[in-house]
Amino acid sequence: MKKIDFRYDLLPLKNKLFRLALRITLDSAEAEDVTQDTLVRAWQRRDELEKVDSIEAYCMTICRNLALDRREKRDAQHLSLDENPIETADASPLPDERLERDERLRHVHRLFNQLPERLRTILQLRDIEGKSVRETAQILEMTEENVKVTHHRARQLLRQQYQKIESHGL
Amino acid sequence: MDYKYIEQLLERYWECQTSAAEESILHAFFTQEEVPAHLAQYKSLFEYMEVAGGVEVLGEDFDKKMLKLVGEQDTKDTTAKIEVRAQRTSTIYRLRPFFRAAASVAIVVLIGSAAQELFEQKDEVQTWDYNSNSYKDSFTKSEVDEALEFSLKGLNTIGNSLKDADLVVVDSAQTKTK
Amino acid sequence: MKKALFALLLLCLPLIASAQQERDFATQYMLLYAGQDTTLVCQTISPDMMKHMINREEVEQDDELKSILRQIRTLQVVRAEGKTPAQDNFEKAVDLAKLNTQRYKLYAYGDTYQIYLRKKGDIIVELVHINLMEDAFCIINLTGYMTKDFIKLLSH
Repeated sequence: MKKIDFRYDLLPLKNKLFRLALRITLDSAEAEDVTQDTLVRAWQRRDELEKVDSIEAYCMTICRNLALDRREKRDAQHLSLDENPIETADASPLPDERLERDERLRHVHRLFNQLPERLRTILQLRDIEGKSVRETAQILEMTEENVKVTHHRARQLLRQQYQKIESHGL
Repeated sequence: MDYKYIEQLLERYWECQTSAAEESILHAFFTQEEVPAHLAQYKSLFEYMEVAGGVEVLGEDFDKKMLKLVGEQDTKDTTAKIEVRAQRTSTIYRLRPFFRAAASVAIVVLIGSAAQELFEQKDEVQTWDYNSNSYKDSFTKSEVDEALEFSLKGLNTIGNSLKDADLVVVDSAQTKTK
Repeated sequence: MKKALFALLLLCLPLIASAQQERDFATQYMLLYAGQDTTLVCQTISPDMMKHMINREEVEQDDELKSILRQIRTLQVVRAEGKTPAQDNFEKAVDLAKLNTQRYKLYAYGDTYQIYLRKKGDIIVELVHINLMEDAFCIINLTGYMTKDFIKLLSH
């Protein structure tokens, strides 16, 4: 197997990892930290990396786990209870000027980020990043069946929330 | 214009029954300039998913920081090379640039023919409920050209009839006269 | 309930259908009449042959033609080669179609022809063209997965 090169094999993943981290942590600064930590950790494990199926999938798994850890830590600090499945994420950052400009896109962005973590992560992976069922199962360390079921739930919930917003008028 | 096909696709989308190709069609449809009023509410959803996939916040500064962290030498063309690499990872909605250029009418036509192909792949077997084996060819394998000519004659005949039909029966009880 | 339905089917000059095996119009017509009328012949293009045809270069290069052929699975032509009065055959065919209105709906007609469609939802699975031209009778029977566009393509 070819030797892992940081510049050409790992660094190019930065934005995909950032997007995933942001979707989970809902915080730009955290997301950047997570991305950094992910790349460092992946680099430290480069011997292992040489043997894996997909470097990208492997890194995304690390990324997600780190992001979840961060969130737990932060939530513990704020003593917030995450039992309520619909999160309030009013301060969720808008990473793109197109999102800034467009009121409607902002609404959808908020909507996505209000879904429970598992569901919005699956939408991020399957629908936004275009990952296959198989890759998604690898990244999330779930069975493919579970991925399909979760994805279905996510879309159903998204639709519900979407129609709620639309019926209140924009 | 009948958007029944799109509406059906959308229903199946929510149920996660759409294939990647079908989802490409939904994306292409909803990212057009003009989306019919009764479907307009979903435009922002599909747009958002495309935009969200293209967010590239981390730039050169991040690269420099990272390379330092892992102890690599920063060379001048690093960032450029990395960006080229990043672009090569394909976007999932590959059909996008192709469809963007088309007017909404063209898109619906394209969707129509693509839809046919998809239907053929998915539901065709059950809907076409005849038995393939019960059809014995009148032409041999070496007579494909004759078979083709034969078929075209038949299709022409039907075509001519359709063209000059005195009355065409529309789906419901109404009939419309040409 | 089932028994009564079955009896009804028998009464209706059945298009005997099992869950998976339907008979198309041409096949049924031949089954009913080819025994007595030896002038009836049926020429068949099977799904296999359709595939071979589509692969022909002249079809490959003609988008419209390709599009039309792809929607067709089978094509059959029933003809009467001989002295049987064409009018007779024509009427028999029309009667058969009319007797099975739950399957075949009249789509278009003129003086010398009638076109029936069998649809499943929006999809046309069978097109029956019963023709009486210049005293020659024929049935052209298509089965497949045809859309509204197909009709447009054929008729322009």
